[in-house]
Amino acid sequence: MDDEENNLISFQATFRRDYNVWVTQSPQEAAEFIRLNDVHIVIADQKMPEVSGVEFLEMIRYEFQDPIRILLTGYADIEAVIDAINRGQVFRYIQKPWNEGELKVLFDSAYQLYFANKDLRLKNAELARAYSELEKFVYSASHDIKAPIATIQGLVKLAVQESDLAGMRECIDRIDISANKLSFFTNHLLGFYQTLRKPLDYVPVDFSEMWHQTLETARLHENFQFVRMTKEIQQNNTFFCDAEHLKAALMSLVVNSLKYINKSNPESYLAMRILSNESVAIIELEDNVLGLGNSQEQILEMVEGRDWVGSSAAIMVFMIKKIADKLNGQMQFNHPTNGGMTIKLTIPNHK
Amino acid sequence: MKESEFNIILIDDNEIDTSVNEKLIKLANLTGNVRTFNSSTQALAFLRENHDQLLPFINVVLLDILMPEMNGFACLKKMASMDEPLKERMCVYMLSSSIDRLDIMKADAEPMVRRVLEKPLDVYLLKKILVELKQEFSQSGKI
Repeated sequence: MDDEENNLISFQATFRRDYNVWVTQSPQEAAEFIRLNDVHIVIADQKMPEVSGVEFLEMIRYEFQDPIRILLTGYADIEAVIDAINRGQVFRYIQKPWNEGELKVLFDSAYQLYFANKDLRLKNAELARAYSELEKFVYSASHDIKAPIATIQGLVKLAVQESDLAGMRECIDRIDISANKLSFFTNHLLGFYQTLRKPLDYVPVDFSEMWHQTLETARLHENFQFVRMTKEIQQNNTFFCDAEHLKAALMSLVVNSLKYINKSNPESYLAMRILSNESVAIIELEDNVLGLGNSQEQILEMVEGRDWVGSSAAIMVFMIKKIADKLNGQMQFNHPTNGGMTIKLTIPNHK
Repeated sequence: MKESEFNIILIDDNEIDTSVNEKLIKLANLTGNVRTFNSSTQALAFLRENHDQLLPFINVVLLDILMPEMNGFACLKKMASMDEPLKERMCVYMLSSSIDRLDIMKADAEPMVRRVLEKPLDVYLLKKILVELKQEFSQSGKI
């Protein structure tokens, strides 16, 4: 940007073969152009009637962080230039008359800086998201870990006061139950996080076999005995997916249901349906668990990370969603307040 | 301490926790009237059906925060619709295995909640609480 048209014309003529050059005499037009286009480098002449080059570059800096700002000056106004550079308003300045070769070097380094900055910003945002997710995850996981520990602590208090052997024995049996619960949960949690860190490796998956393995592990869950499991698996083709991630998803689905199963209801059930075709596998788990104590909306808010109050109910759903995301799949979650839950995963066939 | 002044009502979905706390309370000779419930729904039904019997007592409710079906805060919302004379005699302590800042903030906003207590239940703390409640209620002439 320059108020002198001749400068703009000669600049454009020199550089148009190497770069996409757009010129204007108007600061408003320049700002509008930056708003609408992916601009990498902005060059402004210092000496302009409406605003100075430094003022203009400072103005656009607040709205557009990405373009690299360069000041063009033929002016003996070196103070303003130094000041602008020191305050971070300007990346470099070019002194008139400019030299084509020097400028090309400068533009190339500005261009590299543009992408380095942009990349850094994206990485930072990603990192910030991952960090806040982890924070919420740790918070809710620690509650699930702390609950059985508190039960064990209570049982120990009782055991030391218990005078008869039968009473003490009962305490110890219950400590055993709580310790197993804790062990199951931490194993699941650890397995989940280890899986999530692994790169994806697409192999043919046999759903019947995988479901069989899932049940073998789920059998160790304290609530497994209270529920009737049914399965319906239709697989007529080869389905390619990362086996470990898929297994972690199946396991999390089952553990999520088992956690809220109504033990006093003899009709408690978990129904797994898997339908695999050429393009996708649809994995659906339906159950008649108790309400989770939070509405469907609240749980999805927690899963999306907008609100994490009463978090424990959402941790499994969060884990399932995480795996579905990594496998480029989708999760649908339906949980009426009065109980019963259906979670449906649609996972693409990575053939 | 006379047994008849307090009802201690335990609400927690974990059956082991309620039975352990009940035994610990009895072992500490706190009071004879301990009632345990494994869901908010059961507890609310009890409160509704026994309104008149509960009214002369100081009713100490130990309410777990994380429960399926109806969590502790949802249970409190239902309890808020009880009549004033009984509500004045309900002292709710919320229980949580991990003391969370947000839970404490939410609990502070609830007029019926006295405090959030960390699990496992500390019966000596409970004993102290009962002594203080007794003082408070006798000073205001409610017992």
